[in-house]
Amino acid sequence: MATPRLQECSRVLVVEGYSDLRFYAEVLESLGRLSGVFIKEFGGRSDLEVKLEDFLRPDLVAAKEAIGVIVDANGDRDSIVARLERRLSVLTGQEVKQGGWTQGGPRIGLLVVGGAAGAGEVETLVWESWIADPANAVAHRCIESFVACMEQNAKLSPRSPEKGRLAALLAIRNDDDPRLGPGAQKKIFDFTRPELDRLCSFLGGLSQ
Amino acid sequence: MLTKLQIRNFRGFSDLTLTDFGLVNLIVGRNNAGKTSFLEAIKAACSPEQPQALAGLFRPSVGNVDRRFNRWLLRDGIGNDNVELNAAWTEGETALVLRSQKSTTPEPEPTQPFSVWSNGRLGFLDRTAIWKRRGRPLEVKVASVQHRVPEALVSAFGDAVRPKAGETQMESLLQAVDERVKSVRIDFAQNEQPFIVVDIGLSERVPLPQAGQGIYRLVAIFSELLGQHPDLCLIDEVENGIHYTALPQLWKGIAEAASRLKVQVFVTTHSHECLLAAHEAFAVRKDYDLRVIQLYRVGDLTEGRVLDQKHIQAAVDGEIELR
Repeated sequence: MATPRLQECSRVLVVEGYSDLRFYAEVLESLGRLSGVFIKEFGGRSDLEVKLEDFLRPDLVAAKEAIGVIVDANGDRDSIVARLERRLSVLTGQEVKQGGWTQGGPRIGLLVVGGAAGAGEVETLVWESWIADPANAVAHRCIESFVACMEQNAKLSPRSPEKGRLAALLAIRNDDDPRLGPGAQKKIFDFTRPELDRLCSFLGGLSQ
Repeated sequence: MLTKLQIRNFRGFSDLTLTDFGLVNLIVGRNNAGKTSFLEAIKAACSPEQPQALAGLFRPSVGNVDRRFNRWLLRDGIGNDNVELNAAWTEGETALVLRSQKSTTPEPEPTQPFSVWSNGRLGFLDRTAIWKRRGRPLEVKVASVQHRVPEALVSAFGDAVRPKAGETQMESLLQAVDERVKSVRIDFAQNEQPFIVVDIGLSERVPLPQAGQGIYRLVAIFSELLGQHPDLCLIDEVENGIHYTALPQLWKGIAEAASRLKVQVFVTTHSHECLLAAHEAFAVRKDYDLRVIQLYRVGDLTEGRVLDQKHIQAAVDGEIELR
């Protein structure tokens, strides 16, 4: 499939990095909502607000039907929510609230993702949904054993617990690239899991 | 330095005010976004004593200058609104108001080019417009660097290097971007026009066009800066005719010349490579004195903004299109 061009897409999704781009593209594809969506990755989380100011130029905002922003909560969910709500509201002239979409135009959406406890990354959310599936119970125990062994014997712990566990799973299931996005493209995750409802609902809001 | 420019009802601009310009300013935007008009607004606001110099400066202008050029200085459909150009300079502010009114009697066809400009009065065939200035005049000298054929460049180069200091600075600036350059001279050959030659350490001096696109363009720019000693330098489509691999050298030279000669520079470009080269040239300097001026259209209106180092760097890191 040809790479979408920003000018030709009426809907835009902004994400942090390349793995996120591939993951959210896969989720949108599974929802049948990928067509007409341009996904812009910012090459990482640094200077996120400055990058938003650069990217969300008034002529781009005026030309689109919907613009969504999805970022990880990491360890400072409340802070990032407050900062991005404020920044997006200024940039678009609308009152942007995390978790939903404005009325437009264009419709602006913001979602800060993490695990059930609120913190973490999109990998946290996906890991929690994967281990909640009884079909993955055995594989889950194997990964936990591996992580425990590394921690106890090698004194090595994953910097991000869920990201490390997910990478351990993907190292077996998709050894070409054990990151979330490429793993999702190999259909390793079930996007119909209830843990992912909120995410899927938000992404569905890109097109109404 | 120019610190603020407000443009009202001029060409495609309805009402645009930009501030926080840098020493060097790179103007980007799509076709018809107003990049060249922005340069014309600066030129008109900062050196209104030479309004006739505007026609043909950045755009080909042939035929009746009022009909083909001046008429289009007014934003289309503004009725009797005024055109206004407000410029703030480090030492003060000035405003030019182009009062546009429907004439009761049509302007007569000018008998000679620019004659209607002679007393500050500008005819638009069926309109009358008068430049008026508020505030004290700016004593700003504006130079524009256009593409020159080698023969035409000789004269500008000659003016620049005639004073000994000019020659020294020309060579010093060129050596700052290309240490191969030993000297630059005007050469004569029998039955030929004089031409510029460069000593780059070969067995004999090479004609300037043979020394590379970047050096050729820099000699043109430096000639203008050293010959005219302007406060402001305007360059339209700086990347024209230059391969992208020569752009870092070009920008190194522009940054060096602007800093040494204390000339504020406004440059337009369509090129992403040009923008990257400018950013990289300034990123390694002690002072990052580059701004990117984005011009874009929202509906029928031209809008714009000025980006500083933080925003330019973030855009480069995030591969965000600034043009």
